[in-house]
Amino acid sequence: MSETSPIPRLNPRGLKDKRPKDYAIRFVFGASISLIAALISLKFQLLGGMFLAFPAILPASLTLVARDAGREAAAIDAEGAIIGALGLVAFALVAAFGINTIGAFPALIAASLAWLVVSLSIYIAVMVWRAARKKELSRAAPG
Amino acid sequence: MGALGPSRALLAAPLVPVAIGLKALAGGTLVVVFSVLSDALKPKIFAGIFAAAPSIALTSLVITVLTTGPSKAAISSRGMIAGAVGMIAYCVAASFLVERFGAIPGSVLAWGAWTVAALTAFWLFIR
Repeated sequence: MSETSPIPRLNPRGLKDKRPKDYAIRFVFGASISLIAALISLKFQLLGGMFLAFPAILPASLTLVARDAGREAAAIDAEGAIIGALGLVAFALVAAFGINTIGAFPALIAASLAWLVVSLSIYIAVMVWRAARKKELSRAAPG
Repeated sequence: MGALGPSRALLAAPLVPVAIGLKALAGGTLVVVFSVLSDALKPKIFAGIFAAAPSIALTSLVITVLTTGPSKAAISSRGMIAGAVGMIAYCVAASFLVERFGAIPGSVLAWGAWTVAALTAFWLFIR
């Protein structure tokens, strides 16, 4: 399968150049934002909720991707994160309207599934659109 | 199945610091889990999806439901809608800024986009 294939697959080599420190940094980022969100929520529940979608890991991830694979790869990683962020809106909407109607845990399971389904659907749609556009461009400029 | 009512919250008020510590620990752990998944996937654009996974949200909301009840978790989720709108703005900004200014300045500058978009969405639709 070529490097440019849009079909998702496992790449264990991607873990080889990562150090324990890299994951420790991400843990600290994640734990810190969870802590900040929890502390704000003590007084301002609604505002604290906003921080549940704070881009905490992305700066650490983008920095590591740029270090290991270059700026362009980091920008592509951020493009993928746009798709994940659209899924995150679906997660929040399902959780916000589902917790009081279908129950907390069913709603959180449904919200997680919504994130996955929305993200994967948008990913497939973008890849199909890109492939169609590439074909169109190559047809418009033959040779 | 009915929701777990506020009166049936598992932890009492003095245990709030424990709940906050748990949220931090669980949030950090799930962030690492999604990071490993993202590092072990190809192509890069697909792996990027997992950088915006609801890791912190999921752990925080589960612990909120268990400690203070579902009504507070529902309020947090409403606030999260604004944060998620901000996250879209962050990722769009970061995809340009990282390529132009480098990873650290680009990803830090993009926080400005999150703040503006999240607060605007919060002000207009959530509060």
